Amino acid sequence: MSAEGSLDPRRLRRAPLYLAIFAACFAATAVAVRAWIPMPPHYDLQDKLRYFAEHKDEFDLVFVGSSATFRNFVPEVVDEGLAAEGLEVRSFNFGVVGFRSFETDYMVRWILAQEPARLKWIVLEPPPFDPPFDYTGLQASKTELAVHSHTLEETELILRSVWLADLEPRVKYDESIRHLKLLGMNLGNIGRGPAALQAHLDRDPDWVAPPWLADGRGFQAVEDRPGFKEPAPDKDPLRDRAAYRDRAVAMEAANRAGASLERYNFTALRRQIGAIRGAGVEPIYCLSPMVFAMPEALALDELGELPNFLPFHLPKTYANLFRPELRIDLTHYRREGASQFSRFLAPRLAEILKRTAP
Amino acid sequence: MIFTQAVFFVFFAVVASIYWLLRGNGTRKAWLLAASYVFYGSWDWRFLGLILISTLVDYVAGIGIEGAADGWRKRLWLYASLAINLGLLGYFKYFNFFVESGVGLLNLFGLELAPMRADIILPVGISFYTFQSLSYSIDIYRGELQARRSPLDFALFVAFFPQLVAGPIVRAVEFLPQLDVRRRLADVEFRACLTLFLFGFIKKACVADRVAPMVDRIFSDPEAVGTTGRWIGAGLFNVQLYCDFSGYSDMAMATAGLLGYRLVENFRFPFFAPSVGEFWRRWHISLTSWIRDYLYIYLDWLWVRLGGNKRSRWRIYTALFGVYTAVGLWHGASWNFVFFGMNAGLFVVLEAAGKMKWITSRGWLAYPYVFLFWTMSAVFFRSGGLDHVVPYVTGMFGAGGPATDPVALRWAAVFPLFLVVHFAMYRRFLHDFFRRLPDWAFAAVYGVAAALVLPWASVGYQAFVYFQF
Repeated sequence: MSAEGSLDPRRLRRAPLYLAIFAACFAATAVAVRAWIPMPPHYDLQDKLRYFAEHKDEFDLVFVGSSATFRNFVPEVVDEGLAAEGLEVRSFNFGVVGFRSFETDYMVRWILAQEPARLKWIVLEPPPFDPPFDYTGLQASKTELAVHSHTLEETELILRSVWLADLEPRVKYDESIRHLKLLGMNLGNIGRGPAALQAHLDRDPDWVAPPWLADGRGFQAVEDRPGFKEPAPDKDPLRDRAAYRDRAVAMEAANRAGASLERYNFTALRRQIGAIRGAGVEPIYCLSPMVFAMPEALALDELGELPNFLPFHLPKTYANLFRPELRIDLTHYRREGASQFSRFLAPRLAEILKRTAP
Repeated sequence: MIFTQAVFFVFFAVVASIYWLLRGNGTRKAWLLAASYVFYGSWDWRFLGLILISTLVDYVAGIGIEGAADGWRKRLWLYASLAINLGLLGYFKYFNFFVESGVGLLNLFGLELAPMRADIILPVGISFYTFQSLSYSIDIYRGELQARRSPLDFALFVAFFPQLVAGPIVRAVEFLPQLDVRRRLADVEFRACLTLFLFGFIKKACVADRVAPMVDRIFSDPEAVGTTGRWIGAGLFNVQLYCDFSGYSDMAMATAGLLGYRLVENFRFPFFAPSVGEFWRRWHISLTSWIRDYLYIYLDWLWVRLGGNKRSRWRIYTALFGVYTAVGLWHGASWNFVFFGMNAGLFVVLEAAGKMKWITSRGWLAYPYVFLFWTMSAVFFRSGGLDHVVPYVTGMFGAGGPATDPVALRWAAVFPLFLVVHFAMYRRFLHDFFRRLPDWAFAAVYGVAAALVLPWASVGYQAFVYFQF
């Protein structure tokens, strides 16, 4: 090593300046590289992103959320129902399999960042904002998605959820480190080059949106899923009708029993609402008829935290929506069930749209 | 904790910052020793006991050798050091190998013995620090070094964390004098160290770890791979091994340099060597020079002692062959490593006898010959055992394998790319580019380079190949 690189005291005093130059150049390059890195392949997410980016100015309303949104809301049927109520609305289903609160939150911000010209409403599931724990295996698509969605803003919200959660301090610490690592991987684009390069190489310039995306506007019936199979009898939760009915009844009771919101991440919810409204769009929270207890949603509504809320997870109140023949499992409808629910939803949704129309 | 992990960057930033803030040389050395034990303990704290034993034994033996009244006592101290160090190495690394080989041999003679295997975990880096502390005792015995009275200095020499787990093997004569002088921050060649670290990081995280999954796939089931795939597999492992180990050595030198210490060069562009002998003088230099200085001379002496002809060329050949066999065995406790070493020894002897001159004197033949030699050696090195080597090699020459090769031919593009980069490094284009920049431009270019490199780094933990030794 030559003496040329060694430091005299004058050069040493400039070290903070050089560090700042290094950090600025690193950050600027990382941001530039990040713009080139697409979201990772995750089920149909790539197709939805591409289709929405190309048609973003065509929609007034977007449903965003998990597979419970993807499989249960039929935009075409909802739009017909809204038209019958005198509302000319064109909606799009942006539900994605496997999405949870924080991915949905990230997706909402992504949609708003596209500045869709006509967008007036976003319908989404009331987020539990519970800390995500299932990011195992660093190369899993879910983890890649987690890396991508770990922006500074989302990571701060996730860390709040972690520290609010009822966990041992050691677990809280481990979880925090894990999420900070994911943030670091995201900010530094660590390890994401080959997948991004592959995605760019595989990008088909003549891509044509599949029918479920173009005609179905993002909705895909569960029966149309590639490789769809009816559930095996021993794994079908709807097979024993009596047990299903009991479960549904118990769930309504659980939902109405109330919930403590002591550990709820209100900051995340309020920021989400603020971000949506800040873009001139109105949030509408809607729970499709799932057979899962989610008492926090009703409790949040009672507190007045949810600006517009449509709770359909109440089997006694909406018995018709819980008929087992309409469903494939406890969360998702079959095609016919999704259509019936969307028809049922439309007039109730119309009331909110009329009330909140800009 | 390895050099490419985020936790190491945090660890090093804390260690280096506090180190340079401390004033006294003794305090700094104590801090470095504590940091080195934390670093080593992060692998498995139980192995700290071994390194402490090795340190204590050679510290006491060094003083004992120096203070011994006569040659006999000197020898006794040396033999004690050799016995304990090699005994520990032998137990942890070679016990199962020797027992299994012994049982196999007895079974050949009709003695039916059940296979035996002890459940021993190999402590990381044991071969490196054992050789390092052995050289200390031997150098004192030879009168080439004075025993170190400061236990702190000696303990830091054995455990200095940048080179502790995978070398380079540092000699006491090179390292201990550096501990006498308080290091000055102004003397640190930051730019050279940072450049070296970046190159080492690229070699390890962006090349070695990226090709590793494909190499693992090919070597885990060679039957599923055709002829081309096997050649690609062996060649890729060749690239992986070089980038992994030389990348580690670069980062070790850089981190030591940032603390003000200088480590020996461990690689000198071995793929541009025109002969196998020269290749080994450029590959893992600290090991081959250790073996030359401590084992070759002994084997040569043994030849004469056993009545061999002093003027016979076989004296050199035998020592050379023995030395390279030992190099193979140093790498791993299995027969494939023994043959790996013997294969190297055979070629080195043939070259020494002038039998390969028709190749080594022609550049256009010599370089491909060395690359081919190392590619074939890679099969010995990477195969899990000798029984895997033969089917793999026969498959390389057209026997067996599926009709269509599942290994994409594009992987072959790694080789010319590797050689081009190797050449650029050899001609120091990139080093010179970084060296000529003004300070502010270096900081800017380094920031851009780091941000461009990280996307290509492999995600997840991938230990250095040489940690197993």
